[in-house]
Amino acid sequence: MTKLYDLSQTVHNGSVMWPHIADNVISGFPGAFVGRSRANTKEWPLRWRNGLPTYLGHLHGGTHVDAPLYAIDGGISQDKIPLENLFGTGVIVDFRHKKKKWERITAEDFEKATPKIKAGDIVVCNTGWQEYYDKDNYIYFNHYPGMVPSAAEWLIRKKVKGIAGTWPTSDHSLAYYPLKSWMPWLYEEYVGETGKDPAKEFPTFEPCLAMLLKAGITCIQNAGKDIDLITGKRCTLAAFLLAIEKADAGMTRLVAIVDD
Amino acid sequence: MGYKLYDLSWPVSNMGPMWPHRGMFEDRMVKRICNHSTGLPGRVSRQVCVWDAIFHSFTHMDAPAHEKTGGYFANQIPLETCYGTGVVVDFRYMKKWDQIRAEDFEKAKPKIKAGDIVIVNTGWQRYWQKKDYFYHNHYPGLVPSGANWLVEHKVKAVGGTWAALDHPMAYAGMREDYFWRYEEYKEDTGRDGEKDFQAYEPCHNILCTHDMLAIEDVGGEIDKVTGLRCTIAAFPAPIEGTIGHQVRVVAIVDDPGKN
Repeated sequence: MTKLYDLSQTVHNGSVMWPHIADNVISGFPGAFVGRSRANTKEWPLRWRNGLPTYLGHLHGGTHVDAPLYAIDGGISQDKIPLENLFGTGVIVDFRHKKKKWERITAEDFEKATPKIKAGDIVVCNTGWQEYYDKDNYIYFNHYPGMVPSAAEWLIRKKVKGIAGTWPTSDHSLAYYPLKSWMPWLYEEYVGETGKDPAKEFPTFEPCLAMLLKAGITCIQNAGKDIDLITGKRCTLAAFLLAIEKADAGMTRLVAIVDD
Repeated sequence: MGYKLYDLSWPVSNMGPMWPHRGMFEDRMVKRICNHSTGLPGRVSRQVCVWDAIFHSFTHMDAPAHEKTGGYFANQIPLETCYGTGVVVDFRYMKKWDQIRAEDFEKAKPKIKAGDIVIVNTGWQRYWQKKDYFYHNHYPGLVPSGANWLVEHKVKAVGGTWAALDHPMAYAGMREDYFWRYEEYKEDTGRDGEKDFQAYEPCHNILCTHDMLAIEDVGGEIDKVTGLRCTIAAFPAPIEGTIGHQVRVVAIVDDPGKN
């Protein structure tokens, strides 16, 4: 008897997508980066044309895979990611104790995670932050606990196959050097609250995504939905993405498969 | 136990092809935006694609909502319908205009069982991106006796190397829109297509109203797994409210020799 668990968050009108310059071009909204959580209008990215529903938007929405093309020079596009890198045994690790604003996920967290992570695993991290997806998008995108370089280095040394998380991207929410120009609202918030300089705390732009993709590790973002039901288990994971030629990302149905 | 994975899907591509609806060919599928002005380190260009999507294109499903009010949208189809044991049957003996009937499924190998996912290899995928006209107009297609056989035998999902779930002539009432088919059919067979096929897309109706996952434009590496029983995965991406949706169809074949 096979049981399937849906670990995917959906894209729909009003759901937030990682803000890109592309937003400005499609929707005509200026300042797409402001707040990092500008809600889409009810007409975008899904609308009706010629009697059929259509989509007009970028691909970093809902549960998705980021292709090497997205972050590293000469990286392959999403349609070239081998199917073997999107399927296999893995573990859903409980990181809900890390469910704190701006919490750093480190090598130590993975070292002591259970079930024990093995080489070739697809690792799925449950931080609990999916609670805010579609409910409070400002918090979801700006405050999420995320990986710092020691975590990525650990995963690379361990030779994992993939890393998924209940996070919008593989890097920490503040890893956008220089934060003051990238996300000025977040810079103000961080300095105001901690008195620390984010340029010193997070001196590199998106370091984890780049090093993970360079190591050929599949990076899956925005996991969630029924993940609490399968946390703490080893099972088979499938993340067969919607293939688009030469594209930088692909939306994917992340499914946990348990065979009894 | 080891396994081997085979991609039975075509990727979304600016090369098409698309079903010959009026007006669809104006869309550009994938546009690339480069990020020169927003201060990426070194102001290097980073590609972000914009997908201007038609969901009924490339390897895709027609969701039950396509045919029935209150039917599942693509992302609502139960995951169990999209995954499980199945067979890839060899219908490559079929020819232009051939009708896929109950008898064809009855004698298919491997034998089709209740609960199966059935993937049909008509051979027509050889025309994909090579001869658009043959691909979209001549493919061997399902007729109601075939679709009904699948429903009666409790097949949970069906996909094929066909441009649509219905026979290319099953467009009653749309003679003006698909006039070239009627002319050619008459030339080849001496018969009137509108008399031979009196319903508009009846198999879409039969399959979708029975909540089946029904897939069109299967292809990719299908020849490598034809004739096998294996596990099939065909999950739609998590986009809400669509009545058609691309699916990544993957065959997972046990490979005892592989680690």
